[in-house]
Amino acid sequence: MSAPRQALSRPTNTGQGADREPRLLEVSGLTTRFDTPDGLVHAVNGVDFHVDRAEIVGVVGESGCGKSVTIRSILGLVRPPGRVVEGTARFNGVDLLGLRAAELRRLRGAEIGFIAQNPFSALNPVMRIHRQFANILAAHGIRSDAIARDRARDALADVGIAGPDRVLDGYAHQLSGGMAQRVVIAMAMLLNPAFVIADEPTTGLDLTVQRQILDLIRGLVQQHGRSMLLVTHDLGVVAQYCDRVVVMYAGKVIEHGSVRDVLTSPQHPYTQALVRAVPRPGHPLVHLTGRLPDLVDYPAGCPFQARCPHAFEPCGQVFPEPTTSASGRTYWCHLSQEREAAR
Amino acid sequence: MTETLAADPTTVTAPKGRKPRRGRRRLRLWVPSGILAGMLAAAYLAPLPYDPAEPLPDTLAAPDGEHWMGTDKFGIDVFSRLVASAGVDIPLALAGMLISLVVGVLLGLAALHRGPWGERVVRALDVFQAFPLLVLAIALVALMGNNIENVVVAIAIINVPRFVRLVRSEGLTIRESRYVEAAHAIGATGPRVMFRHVLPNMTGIILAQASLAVAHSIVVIASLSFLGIGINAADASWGAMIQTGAQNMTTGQWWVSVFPGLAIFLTVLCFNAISDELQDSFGRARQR
Amino acid sequence: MSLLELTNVSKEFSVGGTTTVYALDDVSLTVNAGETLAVIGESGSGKSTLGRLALRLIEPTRGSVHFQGTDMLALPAAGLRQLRAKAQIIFQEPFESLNPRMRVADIVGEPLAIHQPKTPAADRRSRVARVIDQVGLAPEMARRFPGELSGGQQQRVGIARAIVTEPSLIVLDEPTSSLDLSVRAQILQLLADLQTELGMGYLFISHDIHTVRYVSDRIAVMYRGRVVETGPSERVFADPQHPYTRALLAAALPVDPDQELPPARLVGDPVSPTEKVSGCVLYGRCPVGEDRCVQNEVRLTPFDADRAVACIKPGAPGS
Repeated sequence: MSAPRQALSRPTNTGQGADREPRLLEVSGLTTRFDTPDGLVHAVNGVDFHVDRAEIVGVVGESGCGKSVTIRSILGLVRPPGRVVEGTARFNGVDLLGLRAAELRRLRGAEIGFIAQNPFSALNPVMRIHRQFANILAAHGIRSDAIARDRARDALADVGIAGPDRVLDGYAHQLSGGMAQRVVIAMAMLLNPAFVIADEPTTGLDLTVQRQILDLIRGLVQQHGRSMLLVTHDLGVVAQYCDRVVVMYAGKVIEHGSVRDVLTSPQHPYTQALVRAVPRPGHPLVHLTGRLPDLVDYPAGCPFQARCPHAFEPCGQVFPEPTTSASGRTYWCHLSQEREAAR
Repeated sequence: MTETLAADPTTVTAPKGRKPRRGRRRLRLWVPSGILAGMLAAAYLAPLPYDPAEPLPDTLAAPDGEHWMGTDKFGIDVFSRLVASAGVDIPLALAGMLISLVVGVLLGLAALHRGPWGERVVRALDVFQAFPLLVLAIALVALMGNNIENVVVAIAIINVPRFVRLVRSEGLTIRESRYVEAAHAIGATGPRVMFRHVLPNMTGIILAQASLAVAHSIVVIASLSFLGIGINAADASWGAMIQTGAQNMTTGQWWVSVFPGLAIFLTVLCFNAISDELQDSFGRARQR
Repeated sequence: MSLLELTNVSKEFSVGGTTTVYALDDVSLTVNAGETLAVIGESGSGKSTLGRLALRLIEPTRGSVHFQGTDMLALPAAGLRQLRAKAQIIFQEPFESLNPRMRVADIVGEPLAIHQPKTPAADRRSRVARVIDQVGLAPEMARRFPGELSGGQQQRVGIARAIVTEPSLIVLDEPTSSLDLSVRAQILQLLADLQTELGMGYLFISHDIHTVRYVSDRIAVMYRGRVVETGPSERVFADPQHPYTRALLAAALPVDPDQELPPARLVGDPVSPTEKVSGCVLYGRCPVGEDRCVQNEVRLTPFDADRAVACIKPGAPGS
């Protein structure tokens, strides 16, 4: 299945691209597999996308689409039986996938902040919060407890926690979900990273708190000219908080572009189905039937073919070439070639 | 008013069964089961090279082409007696386990009843299990009478607590599950919930525990017969064989004791392996 | 006569013998035949407790529950079991709510086996086959185990089990929230079709505003164990009166990037459900709260002919 991939890798700034500043993050050909008792799971299958400076990019897709595995691959957090088998993830020109564990660890935190889905799994339950802040700083060379406390206090103030000392002297279980997520965000921003990766940062939080947290994260990202990769299954989050969006299906990127392009005039049949599946009064509910292809016995061609209303012969044979519009929106569908030919 | 994007939902099928690795899993269950079945079949059906109870003039002969595992001090062929013993020890352990399984599961389900009794049953088991079980088994057989039936009873009694505990703890979990709530919601009666919903969902783990119980029972039976309790000296038994050969170990005739020892080892290993595999496949099923 | 009527229902759980969780506090609501009442609220609002109370799967601490005029709390166990053929529930977690050791046909057929034991087995089987078809499952699914089905198919089995005895009320406890978006739409459509076909009343519990807006005739907004606003859903959505309702609607992010996002209005986190609240439950997070909000009890009071709000200054500007 990697054959059509080669053709897709765009001229990147590897090699002779010295005249151009490298992109903040450029992922290409990323492929991750899991060797399970049921067989080899094709979780991520040759994913290409990029993040520019000072932009928020959403990664959206349903469960099993590989969005979480993709960011874990980039961050070097894939654990056996998972393995990144192919691809590069260049961060400011440096391939993260080629780094040693220690180098990657230094980069995480200092240059890339990570906000996990469940704040309580990100916090150590038996260690006071201020210790956890101090540990992060110590790992990056700041060993004074007094300085650590000041930095932590500032970080907590930045995320809107009024009495930072009370939080710092307590434990994670004493916090509400919203407060715990604020603490995790403060930790992610502690070393002032230029790039933040957030994995479903509001799933599991109360609705009214979700808004507060999303507003907070966006504020912290935009204020300091940071960039963010925001993984979500919620198209509303994408619509309201992201500049660009990457739509994934069965471990492949099937469409990406500006949020307005993708959500108001989706081109890939899957994106179209996703957008129309949101219940809106006065609109008919459009739904998809069928299910995700078997990720062990991964189908040839387009992974969406079995559920696609427009599927035709070539869909079962090869994964389509990308189609890119003037505004930069790209999608991977054989229909576009049909349309071109018809013109 | 819906627009359907793809084929009719009724035509949608589940993904193809995942076959590639299932074979390996099956193997881990069938290899030990096959070995055990082979041992039993040999004990009952196969023609033995010599009479397992008939002394030959050739005493303490070393293993060779004639006597594969040598002979003991009475001149009995070790291999023949070893195979015959499998037909005594394994069925005894199985019978004891079966009795304790039935009694234990019923008691365990009874202990699930809300109220103080469940707690009391568990407390009583704590006291019971604090006893060294082998000593308990010896005491039981000594009290009830020195015969094979009482060995089975002793095995059954010492294994009951493990089933009671398992059934109660699993039951407490399953009782809180959504599908049990769903069963109540459709108007199912208490017994129906118990026997249709709770019990079937612990069979896997009960079988795993049962296999473990047999392994343990094999060792207890061997210990009893080593001590000369329960099983008649004339009957073949691995424990008694080890006892027979024990005094020859010091003088270099290792084969009389070592081969039955290995037989116990292999049998226990097989039952443990079966238990592990049952537990594994059950756990996998539950995770889905 | 209403299909379901809950009157002044409260539920307190004791946790570890020392703490009390006030899950529901003096809740009254009704579901009429054939209509959908959506109960919307966040986690911890008590909405799931409410659904279970409505079917007497748990007992209320105070209050009464009437189903088709029958006092459910006065029913003996056998009478309650009988009534379960008429009042059913569909759960949030489709897989967890199906016995993994039973085949689909047996799961769907079990309510019939319980409630119509005298019906010939062949008749029951054909009824099961009809219902399996009605919920959009292929006939061969009947022989499958739940683990062999997708999430959407599992939920269809849950729906089939609920409708096989032709109930007049179904409690739907977040029936689509664990499903993927594209599957969710199928299930919502199926539920709507079945309601039209069978005339069932739905008590639809959800935290998803898009879904509630799509399915409901009336809504009850819950916060911290209390109903803070009720009314016909169109009117509540168009012109919410309670500050919490407004915040909740503002929290539903529109999928249209051009749609203006209303400002977030609530501050802080909900209070812990282990605290007994006097006065308004929203006080402390409310943008228009004032002293008299905590000095007096704030109860649901009629706002107009068919709406009620638990706020001393409903629709206050700035809220």
